[in-house]
Amino acid sequence: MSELYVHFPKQATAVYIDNFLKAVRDVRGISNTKMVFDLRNTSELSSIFVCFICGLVDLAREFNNKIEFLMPAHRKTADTLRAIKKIVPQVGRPPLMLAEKMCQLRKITSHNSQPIEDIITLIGHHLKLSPSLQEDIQLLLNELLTNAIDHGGREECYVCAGKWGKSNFVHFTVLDFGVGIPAKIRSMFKFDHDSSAIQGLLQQGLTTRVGREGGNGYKFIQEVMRRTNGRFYVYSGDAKAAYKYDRGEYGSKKARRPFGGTCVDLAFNLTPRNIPENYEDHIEEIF
Amino acid sequence: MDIDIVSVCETDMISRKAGELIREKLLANWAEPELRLFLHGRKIASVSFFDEAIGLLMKKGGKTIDEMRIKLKFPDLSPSDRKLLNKVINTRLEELDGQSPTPRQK
Repeated sequence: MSELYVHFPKQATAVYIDNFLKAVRDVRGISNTKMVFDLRNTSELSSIFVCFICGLVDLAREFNNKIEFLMPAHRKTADTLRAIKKIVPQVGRPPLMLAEKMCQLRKITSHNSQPIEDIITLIGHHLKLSPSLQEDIQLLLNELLTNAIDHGGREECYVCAGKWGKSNFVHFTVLDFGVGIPAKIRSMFKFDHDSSAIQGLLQQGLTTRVGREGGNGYKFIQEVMRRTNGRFYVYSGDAKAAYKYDRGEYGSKKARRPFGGTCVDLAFNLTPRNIPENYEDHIEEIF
Repeated sequence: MDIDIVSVCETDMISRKAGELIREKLLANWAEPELRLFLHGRKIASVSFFDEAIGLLMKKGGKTIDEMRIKLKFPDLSPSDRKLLNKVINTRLEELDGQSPTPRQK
């Protein structure tokens, strides 16, 4: 049996994300191989990291590959990974709870949003998130779940939530290995590159729904993240985009590696002044 | 007439497909004097569902907002879902107000 080394980066920040995208490309389509997931250099796990590890394990197993882990040298990171490893082989992924880090992970294969409700309830209770913020999170995750199941083509996605280290943000990540957003957009609109397609989606509110209603999902996401002073990251196709409303930084660019799939990371700002308690829309009450 | 959204939609209460099921049920029973939709403690939190189920009663079902206001009741809708539903309807009204005849004037 041949061997394939899949190298994991130090951490899953935007700077290192290309390593994950390359890992997906390396693993996809390979069969009957011993895959060595090399995490020796990894020193920090995050929601994106956990989603990718679980997704890559599934992707590898789908084609009868054997997986071996080379554990991180960093002791705490290795401990966390050991906890994750326990649930990785289990069908349906039972809840993952890491006491200190309060990480939650689910694999979702339908439009049933109950697992998302569970995640938000647990994380919300642990981090004392305001009810209004929990409602916002639910709304956005339901939107991302619908996108992953309806448009991805694989009808499955990974959802991971957690607050990591001393960060002031709680992250909610949704990952799928479907066709990717830019591929859908570029099949209908003329764009030179995936990153300009993503830019079109986020700035012009393009929709790939033809003759059907809707397609305003990302408009809603931007609206909520702007209001809560948060950040969101989109990695899909050949593009990566980062919108940091707390810093006023927005942009999308070409990824170094193409990625078949979509990863969206929503980072909600937990700084007290950024959590609106009594936000009210000025809308006519009809019902 | 009472409609139990949980029974009709089962585990999927967020997708457009689920919303369409509810809209079809509402339109099939529009002759009833009142249509009461129940969630029994569950939350929707989905723009897609509300838009497809209720918002599109105007555009696709040809109903006016006044008819809907009289006919449709949501006795156990959570405050956040009620806010979201109203937002979805307002968005549809804004969109339709730009056309003629509008659902308000019909």
